[in-house]
Amino acid sequence: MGTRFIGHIDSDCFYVSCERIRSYSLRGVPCGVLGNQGACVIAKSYELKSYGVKTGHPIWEAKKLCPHAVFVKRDFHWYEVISRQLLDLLKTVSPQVEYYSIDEMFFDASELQRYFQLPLYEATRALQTLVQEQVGVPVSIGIAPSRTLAKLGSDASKPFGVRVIEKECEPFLRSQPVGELCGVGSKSARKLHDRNIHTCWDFRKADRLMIRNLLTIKGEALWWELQGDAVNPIQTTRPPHKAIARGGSCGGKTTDPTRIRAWAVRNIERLIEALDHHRVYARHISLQIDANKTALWLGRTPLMVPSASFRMIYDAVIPMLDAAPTTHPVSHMHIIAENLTWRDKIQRSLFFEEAQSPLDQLKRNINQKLGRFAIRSAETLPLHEIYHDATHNYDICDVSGKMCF
Amino acid sequence: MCTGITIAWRDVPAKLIQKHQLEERIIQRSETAEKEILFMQRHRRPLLPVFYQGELRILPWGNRQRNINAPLAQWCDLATLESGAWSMYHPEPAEIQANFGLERGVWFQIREGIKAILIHDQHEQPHVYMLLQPASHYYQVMTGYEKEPLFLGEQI
Repeated sequence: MGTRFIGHIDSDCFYVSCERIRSYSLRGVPCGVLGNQGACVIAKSYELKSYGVKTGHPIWEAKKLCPHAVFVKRDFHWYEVISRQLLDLLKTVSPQVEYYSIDEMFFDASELQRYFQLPLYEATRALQTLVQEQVGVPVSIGIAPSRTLAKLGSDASKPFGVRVIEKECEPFLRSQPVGELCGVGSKSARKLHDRNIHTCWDFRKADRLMIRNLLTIKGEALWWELQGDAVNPIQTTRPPHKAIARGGSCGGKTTDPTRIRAWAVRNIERLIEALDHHRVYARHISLQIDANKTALWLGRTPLMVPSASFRMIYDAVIPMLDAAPTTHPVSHMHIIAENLTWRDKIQRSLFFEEAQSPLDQLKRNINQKLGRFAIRSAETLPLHEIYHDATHNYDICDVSGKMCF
Repeated sequence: MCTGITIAWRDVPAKLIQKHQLEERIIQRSETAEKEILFMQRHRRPLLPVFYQGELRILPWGNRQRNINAPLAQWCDLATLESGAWSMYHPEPAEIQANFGLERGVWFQIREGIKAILIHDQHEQPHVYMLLQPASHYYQVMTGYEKEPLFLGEQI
């Protein structure tokens, strides 16, 4: 067996590329994809980026920066279709593929040369062409002895580039700021700068124990990875969730208690769907809301028994919500299920209600047959505009199996 | 109100471009983007590309002349149409062919087209009116306007 290589494939402006597959007229056009409420740019083409539009910009700012840009409504269902096509294609050329996020995948690249019967760089180019032809999205690919180096390589070669990195890669690492490393945030970067570590090469040459003291064991893993030693393996299946959350924007700020409660009930129903999907029950339920630009942690309620019952989770969430200050407008809300337990590994009780009532099961069966939210709580009625638009029914968090958001 | 649309240049037959002098309306959003033909409500001669009676035609967008027996408007509200207020003009269904639409400075994508009605005046000249409906929450946030066109096969 030859040297082991890990590949990182990263789609270039993925959401826009997906839209361009089904709409030829968007090709070459400065294009932005708008988020769930139609207010913010969540993805942009390179043409739009060149006008200074950034992810997260509100549309009223983006249209000033680029008045001829075209904005598209997001369609996560379509993006998942394309993402899974890419995943399936990668599985044909690699024995191990990690579904890292909707537009990024790690794969075992050791067999690439044999598959394409070409040297490594040319084989990687061939893979890039294959993806472009069969899936239709442009991708950048990094190949390296470790996943950190591979990701660094693909990020540095965007857009539509390919980079093969060997263990000895001093000039490349010298050109990469340490903040580009996946796992080094702004806080960690500041700590490293204080110790005169500015580039990835500085990081690699730094003392390992100093890095460990500074950035814990995760920082040390990065240090090994930068040496070219693959300590973070490719994970072909997602580890079990520690917590599952559902929530997000409340469609603008509101102080209306019926709308706030409606959002809470909608998020509870979405959370129960996710618990059903992952075959787990929750032991604790937490609620977090953003009021007046401040995240308020409203508490954590233990459930009497591990549960995915609407009634039990509702009874846990609503008192926490009622305790929230009512004067500040609420903009975001998250309901989090914690201390999860597999459904087939719980102690059943004679004294408490079942983890899911027959009504919960009936609701799930009907919704599976007739479509999401065909049956829903009447408390969600104030959100008629959300339920009226079927595209709200599918969100990025509904794309299952990926390692990160 | 949707005040402009564009259609891909390649989708319009050359004879129509020549006949209606559409060359002056050709735009390109970037060097690599394909050419589009711009149809604005504020143009001196407002026109629309319309699929009517089995072919693409370039027809006048609404009516601005008082001496013409057709509504003085560019748009028609679906509720007004359904109330029968326009029935005296014998409106016929038509489809506006468009790739992109413009609303309050925001260009948005149109997947299939926009529903419209076509009215013939006393001289048998056709006039096209874009149909409008109450905007969805999404469209309203995106454009800041409370009416959106009646799209074919979708609602933004």
